[in-house]
Amino acid sequence: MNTLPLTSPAPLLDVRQLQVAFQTRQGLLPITRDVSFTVMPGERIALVGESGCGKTVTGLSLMRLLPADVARVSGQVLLQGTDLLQLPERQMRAVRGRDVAMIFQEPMSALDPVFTVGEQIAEAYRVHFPDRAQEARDRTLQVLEQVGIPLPQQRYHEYPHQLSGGMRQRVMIAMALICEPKLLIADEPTTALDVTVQAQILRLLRELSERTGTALLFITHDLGVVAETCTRMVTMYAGEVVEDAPVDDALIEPRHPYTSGLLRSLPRFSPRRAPLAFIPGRVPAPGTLPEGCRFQPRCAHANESCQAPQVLQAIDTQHRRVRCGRAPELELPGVPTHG
Amino acid sequence: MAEPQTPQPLLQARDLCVEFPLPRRRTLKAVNGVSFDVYPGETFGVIGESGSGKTTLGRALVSLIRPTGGQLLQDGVDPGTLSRAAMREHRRDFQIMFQDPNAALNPRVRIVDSVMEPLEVAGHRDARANREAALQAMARVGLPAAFADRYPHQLSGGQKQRVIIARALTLKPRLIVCDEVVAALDVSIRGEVLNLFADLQREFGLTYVFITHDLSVVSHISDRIAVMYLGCLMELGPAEALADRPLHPYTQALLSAEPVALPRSMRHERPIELRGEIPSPVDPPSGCPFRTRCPQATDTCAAGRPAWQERRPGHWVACHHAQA
Repeated sequence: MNTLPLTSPAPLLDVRQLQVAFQTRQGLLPITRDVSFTVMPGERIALVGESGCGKTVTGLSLMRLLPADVARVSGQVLLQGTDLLQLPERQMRAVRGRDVAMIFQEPMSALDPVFTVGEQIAEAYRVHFPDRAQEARDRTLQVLEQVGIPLPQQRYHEYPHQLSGGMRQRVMIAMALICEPKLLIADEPTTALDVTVQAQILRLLRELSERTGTALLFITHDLGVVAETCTRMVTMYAGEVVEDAPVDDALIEPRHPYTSGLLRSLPRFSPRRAPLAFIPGRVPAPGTLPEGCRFQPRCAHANESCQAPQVLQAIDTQHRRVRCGRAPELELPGVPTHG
Repeated sequence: MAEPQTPQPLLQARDLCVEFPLPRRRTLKAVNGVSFDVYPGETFGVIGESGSGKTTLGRALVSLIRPTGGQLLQDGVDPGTLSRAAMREHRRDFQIMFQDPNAALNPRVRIVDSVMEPLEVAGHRDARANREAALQAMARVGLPAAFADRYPHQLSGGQKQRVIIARALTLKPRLIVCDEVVAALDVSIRGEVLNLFADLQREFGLTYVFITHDLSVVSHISDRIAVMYLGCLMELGPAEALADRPLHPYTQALLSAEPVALPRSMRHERPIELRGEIPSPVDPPSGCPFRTRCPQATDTCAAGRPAWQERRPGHWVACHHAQA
């Protein structure tokens, strides 16, 4: 099924039917299913969803960071045509940090407390460019400056505990960017930060991506962060992609009832002190997923047709996809666009 | 006709301080001289970033921490002057709820036993009556009796938060300090829990002190909002006025830093972006605590701490440069 015009450039990352299951004592527990999306070069994609939707597992499986003895990963993760899932571990190690880098919510758990930040960042460069090891220090100072760390010469010799939370996250970003990766996966990188510091880091990520052409896969639960940082939004629910659309389109006119419900739950969009909107029920646990549409037990628009399995299909334009058979007939509210 | 009377505040804080001693004779001023009243039946929002002292303030308000300076009156009574027995009776009226329901519930204790525990602590010996009261409170927050004999791990996050609410209700308090009570909940179920708080307030005439870092939540549910920074109050006013026309540069920056889920065409570029981060409360700046990050700071701000002034009716601010 190739609906893209021939002129469209090749995607940087093409994730096809990615599926993750965990081996448990009770047998194989499916976590995600049929996760498919693409990231074009320089594009900033949000992977959005609530806790347990599979967004973090998806991010980790792209990098092959899930423990191999527990996780069964199938499907394809094509990075410029090469399937990362098929690479020998030795070659995968060359990809990690070089072509694709990742940052996490808690920088302190990702930094080694006994090495200076400069040494840790330089190390990443030396591993991937052993023949240019002597440039590592200069390159580190450069990248520290790039991520807005004042006095890089001095910071180079400091230890992680001497830095504030925001500075640590900048160090993580510097470490991720030193090899100029094509894709940066950021898993809730600002969730642990205060809102005023979050604003600084979001701007930094957006500007770095614009300046260097690094594509961004931004994993988050925060729709405000998505709106400010990303160009496209892939919404996940209960292990599946339910909607994939340009951010502004998804905000103004969501086509999946779950996306619409999420947006309407934001307190900002209810009159002050009025009852808040919410989605009744709760996310089904893995292993207890309903037949057919997984959102159906919580959906106000569900009918018999929703008992059938739902496929992710194009709607409106070739740039939007939705996993809801009823979507063409539904008019769903998005964020209020008046006033 | 009689003059409309201002009701007696349920909480009165005057120049309240909480300091913690540190090694080498240093002190951490977690709460550094705050003054405000909380009136019966209102929702009093407290907003601040990490390290602002908001959690310490909340604990002090319900006498979990003893103030090291200033005065706190609970319903006109200074809790520091009460005997142990009188204090046990008195503190039933002032309860607190925390963010993490997992940490607040003993994993090996059945739900109903957790909910009735406050009654036992308060000296109620009749186990059957306690259980009955617990089941009633659970029913009120939407937990059927079937949950009574379950354990915390069998409940979802939202259900656990309801257990915490039921537990606070058993003592029929007049005021509840809610410290980040919805921060751990997903957006899609957060509304349901916040609606429950509002219903309970109407039904029982509860007063809330709602502590959070989430601007959208606090401005939605509060009648009045206090903004904290490095242990000090920066601004205090009616929720609407504070959110729509903030007086303090810090409040203005905080509001403009909140990411908003609106399409690009409807968002304005962030007018104020703060540099740096909140300084250490062990070594706060001289004068105005916010001056090191304030876009409007001048020499005056380093020289002296700005006075706490009522610039509009009911709208207080501590800033040398605030325009009413």
